[in-house]
Amino acid sequence: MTRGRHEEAVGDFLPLPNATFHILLALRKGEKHGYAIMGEVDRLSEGRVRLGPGTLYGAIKRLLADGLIEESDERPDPTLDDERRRYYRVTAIGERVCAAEVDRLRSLLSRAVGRRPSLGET
Amino acid sequence: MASRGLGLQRRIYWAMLALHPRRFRTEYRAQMLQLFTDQLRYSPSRPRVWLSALKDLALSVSSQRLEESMRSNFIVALGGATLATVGLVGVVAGRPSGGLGALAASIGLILVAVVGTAFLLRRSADQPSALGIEGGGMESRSVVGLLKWTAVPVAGLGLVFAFFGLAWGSAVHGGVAVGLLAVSALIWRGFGGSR
Repeated sequence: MTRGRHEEAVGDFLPLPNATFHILLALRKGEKHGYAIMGEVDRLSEGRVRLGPGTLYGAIKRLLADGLIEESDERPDPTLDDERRRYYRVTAIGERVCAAEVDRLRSLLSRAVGRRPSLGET
Repeated sequence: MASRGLGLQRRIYWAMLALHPRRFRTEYRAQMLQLFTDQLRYSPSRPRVWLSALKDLALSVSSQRLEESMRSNFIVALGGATLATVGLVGVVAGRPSGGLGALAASIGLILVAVVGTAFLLRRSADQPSALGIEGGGMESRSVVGLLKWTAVPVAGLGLVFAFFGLAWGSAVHGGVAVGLLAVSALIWRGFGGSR
């Protein structure tokens, strides 16, 4: 019963908007501050998704409100960092939502590839 | 010299961030400035950073203002529905005792609630969103999700009518109750309550 309700909650978040999905993917590699998230999203998307400060913090605001990420008090290396920076990390539900989105996209991709005529054929 | 230039650019960007709604600004203005400063420091081209920052600012100001406006609309709608509920309870509960003054006051309350809510929502709808730009694909799931809760006072009202319909054996009250409960279900479904 509880598991079913959790699955339903995860499904409520799908499909994830592009920026949100990329931020979650970036944070799965460890807690990060805004600039590090921006850089990781740039790398992950090979430069296709570029988040500006407003877009990034708008998405972070919603992710925090939805409980998919949380602010972290720990600093990876306090001596090398500005203490005013805020760090974020993925929550357990955020991990599940991210995994569910990956499954959704994988399944969509396999259906798209399996269709005839194949994509790219004329 | 370079750091002086950076300071000026930071001040300009800080001033531009004031376009965001206050709630968002209070929470994230310093973080956005920090991020912009990092971009200026580490990017090979400052004009490119500015160009991208201006585009981002236009989208985020518009999107945040839209969210803020939807939040205000939700509060107005909830307040109006609560007042109307109190008025309707007054009408229904006051009817058997026949107090004309109480009945008039209750009807007045309903009218004020409906007209006031309609006026405030209409005025809000007439205001253009900041810069007249859409949110650029940014979702507002949290705010839209809040709207589904307007179904709760509507359902409450339906249950009040159902109670009096059963208590007095009134088909009219029963019909109104069914209608209100159906509207409540539609609102709940329409705003993603049972997705």
